[in-house]
Amino acid sequence: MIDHLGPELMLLGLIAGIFSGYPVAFVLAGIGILFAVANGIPMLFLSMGVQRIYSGTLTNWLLVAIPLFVFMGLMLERSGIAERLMRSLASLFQRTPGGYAFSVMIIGVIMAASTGIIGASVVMMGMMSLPAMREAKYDMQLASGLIASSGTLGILLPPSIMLIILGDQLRVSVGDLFMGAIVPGLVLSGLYFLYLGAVAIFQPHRVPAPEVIERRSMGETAWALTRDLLAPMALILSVLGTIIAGIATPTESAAIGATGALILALLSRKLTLNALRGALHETTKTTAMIVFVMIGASIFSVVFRRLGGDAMILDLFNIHETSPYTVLFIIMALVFLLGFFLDWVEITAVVVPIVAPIVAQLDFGLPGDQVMIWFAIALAVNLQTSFLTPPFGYALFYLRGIAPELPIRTIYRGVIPFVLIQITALLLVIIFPAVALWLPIAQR
Amino acid sequence: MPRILKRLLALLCLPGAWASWLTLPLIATILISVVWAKMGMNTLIGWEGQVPVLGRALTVNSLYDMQWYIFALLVLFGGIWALRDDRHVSVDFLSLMMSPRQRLWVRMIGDLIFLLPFCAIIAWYGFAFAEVAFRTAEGSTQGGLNARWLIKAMLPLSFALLGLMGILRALGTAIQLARGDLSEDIQ
Repeated sequence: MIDHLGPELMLLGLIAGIFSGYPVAFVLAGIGILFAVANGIPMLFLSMGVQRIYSGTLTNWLLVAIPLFVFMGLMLERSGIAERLMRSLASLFQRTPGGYAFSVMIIGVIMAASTGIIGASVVMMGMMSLPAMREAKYDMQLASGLIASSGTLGILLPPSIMLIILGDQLRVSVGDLFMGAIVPGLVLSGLYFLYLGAVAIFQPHRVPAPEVIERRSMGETAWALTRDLLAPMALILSVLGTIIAGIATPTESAAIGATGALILALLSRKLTLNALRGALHETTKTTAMIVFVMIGASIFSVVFRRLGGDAMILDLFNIHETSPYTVLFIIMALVFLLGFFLDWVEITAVVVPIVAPIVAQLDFGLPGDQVMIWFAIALAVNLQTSFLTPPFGYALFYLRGIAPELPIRTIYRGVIPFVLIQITALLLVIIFPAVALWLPIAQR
Repeated sequence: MPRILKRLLALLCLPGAWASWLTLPLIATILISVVWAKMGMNTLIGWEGQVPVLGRALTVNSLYDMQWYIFALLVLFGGIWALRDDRHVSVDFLSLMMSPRQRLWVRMIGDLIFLLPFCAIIAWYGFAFAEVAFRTAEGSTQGGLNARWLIKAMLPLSFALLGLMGILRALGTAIQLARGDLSEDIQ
């Protein structure tokens, strides 16, 4: 048994630092440097950190897609498309029970492209739809479960920023990951729709049709839907299509998407100088926030490796004697638990590089790159589930923040059916890798 | 926190705010290079003689370099701004249970033991890194922009500013703790 004291202490230090509430990016880098100094690693070794930041992160052309997708999401959000879409969908469905519920779901799928930051999308969906659903006398349990789950779809549904970073970390093509996410994403949203449909049919009192009916001509509704539903859908499909067809790299399609979102905002007459400045400022801060975690993690991991961290992890999992499915289960369980405390940014930047070498050595009877694609998709579904699971789920926390008058029990109970749906989808992906792999393979 | 310190912190955020406008040329240059590459062309504008940074011509490769230069500026200077606005991801699960005074202590100690050593090391070695690029007149390997030292120098510069923000914020927090001013807003 090799002595693993160094890396063990390092992990403990990391946990203590992270829970102190100090920004994770700097805790990662700081712990790395403190342990390098304490273990007498020559300072010159740390100059590798500079090289890493420069060549691994700053000159990484794939990561240039991050600010572009963030900007696209913010522009779509600020163009007021979501609010108008909510209104026109609601007026379209106003005679059917569950109209608002379906509208929220559809918007969740469309706006999934939005920032992909859990907090931001749950808050946006909640602010927009919770008052309307309350007014229509919806069951608040269902409403809160619906908002939390549709607000977290963005982790999985392409163009997800998390999948871009996973592609970089696991060294697989982002196009493959986007394609791999499509079928599981459709399965997931399909199950959500089925559940809502069942509620609307069998328990219509939980999702009553609004009493006040807004009169709108057919033509008006049709125009509103074209502008607010078909146009953003066309935009997102063209972004995905060009990546998947291999016409453009993710970064190039992100630029096309950003331009499209600017044009949509212009057409919606929402593109004021102030709105543009706000979106640009947000884009810069969000991009820096995501990339700085990657920078901090790279400093942490050079020192962690140097102190024998990789060997410790391999020993810990003892992969030669454990079945690959057990190892996968342990990793998934670990990520699920970490998802209670960490956002996807830290998990993809810190945990994934640590476990990736183990996953790469597992034999599931699939070629290496397919294992990685499958693993990435399962990880995304798993994380989304974790963010929804009481009592710690991230999304619930944010929902509580915008609706303090909702009893926490209502939120917990409301989200349970959605957690069950998530677990079903996760099991489907794990038991039948083809769910994730079919499209990427078929496309080759 | 003393007003003068808040002003200085706001000053350190300015480069990030300026850099954020570069997102627009970032989008534009990518679109241009896509179109040019599809048409099978490389040179956008050529001219006689050498021009600093650009060299002999503005090519698709120069645009390509410009794109990641802009990305690097967004990240490096945006990171400073995000620190002041408390936008870096943090796990506030336990810190929400702490008293405001305890949270200020965490902020000050974190600035001193995590942030400062990190900034010091990257600024120090980053300087040597940029200096080598300057001495060897390193340029793009693929006929893009010259003067690579310019972007490499942004690494030590931005980390020095980030470290400066850490020092100022820790100083301000210490003053706050001494005076019993427990407000956490530093904007």
